[in-house]
Amino acid sequence: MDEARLILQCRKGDLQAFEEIVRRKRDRVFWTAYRIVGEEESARDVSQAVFIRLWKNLHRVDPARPLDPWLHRTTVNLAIDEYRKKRRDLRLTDGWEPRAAPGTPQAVRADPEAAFTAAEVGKLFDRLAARLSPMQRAAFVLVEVEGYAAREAGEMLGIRASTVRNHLLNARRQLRGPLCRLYPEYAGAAGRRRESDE
Amino acid sequence: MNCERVRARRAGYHAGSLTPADEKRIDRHLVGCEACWERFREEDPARLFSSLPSPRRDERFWSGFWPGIRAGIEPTGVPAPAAGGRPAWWPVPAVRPAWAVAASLVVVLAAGAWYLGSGGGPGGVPEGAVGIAGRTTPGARVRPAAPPPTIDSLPSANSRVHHFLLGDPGRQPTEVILIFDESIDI
Repeated sequence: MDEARLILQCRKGDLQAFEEIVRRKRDRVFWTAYRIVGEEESARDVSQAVFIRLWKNLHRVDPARPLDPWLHRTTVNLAIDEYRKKRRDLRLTDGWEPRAAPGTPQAVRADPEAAFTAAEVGKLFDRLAARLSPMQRAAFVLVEVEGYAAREAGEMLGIRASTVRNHLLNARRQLRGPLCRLYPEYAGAAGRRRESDE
Repeated sequence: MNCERVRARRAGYHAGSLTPADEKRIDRHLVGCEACWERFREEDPARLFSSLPSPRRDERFWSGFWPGIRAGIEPTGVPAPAAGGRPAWWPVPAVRPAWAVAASLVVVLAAGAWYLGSGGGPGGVPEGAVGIAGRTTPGARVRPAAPPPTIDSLPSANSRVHHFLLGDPGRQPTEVILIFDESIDI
């Protein structure tokens, strides 16, 4: 059944249809939440809250339009709230790092000479993104990872597109510095691309 | 700073070797220039993170997930009806909280200004006012208003009550109580 029909079924109280929507969307919702809160358990809680909110707001969702933007907007806003709450509760300083997923090895890259694997990129982001503010993380995830335009991300976050870009510039700076210090070949790769352009 | 000067500083910008003032100038340019924005983005080492993995988690990870959602939605039963199912005058529950507060405050201020202007005379508190409590200057003749709400008489335990005193210095203030029904989420 396509998404629009599922939503219409859900509006009639069909929990099976809703469970199908949850099954289809839960991974993406979870990973969006995880990129912002930095913890699996919190990301799961946020994901559940997103779907509970979806059920309560089904009458506002237009079945003719994709559900993903609504889910992303809600996920990001709930995740930002959760992230702020966690930082406040733990009285964190700038050096806080989120709890890694169980079984995560200490070293990010198994072979220092090889390119990063996808999993290693994820672990590295988890570490470096801990220094970002909630809005910087949200802007980076929505634009750089999920592929939304700055204007769309701004609508989701309730800020202007120019503000989204400012958050992005600061986020990239915060990520770029440690990345290039730890792995100078990334700064070098960027330099080689610049030389070939000129 | 124009595009040519900005692009000439790309290496220093990405290496973090520019002064903070230069970085800020470049940032201001990038926010407004689409071409330079894309160029800098392409060359930024942080682009590494634009391909973060989002693998499907196995079913063990999702154990308890759906039951938790069901527990959260079952008290509400069938989802709320579409907007056409409620009376036209009933406020939309998710009306922006700032607008709800502002609209309520405008109504109350207008009523308060009318009341103050009338000097607490026979007009007194506007007839039909709901959720408004007023105190008058001693001796003024006032038509009795509806009794101010009490905690016990609130329609719902989730109602929110805000209490204000309005008025000019030196004059008897008007006491205002705003009650937000539970359907308005603030």
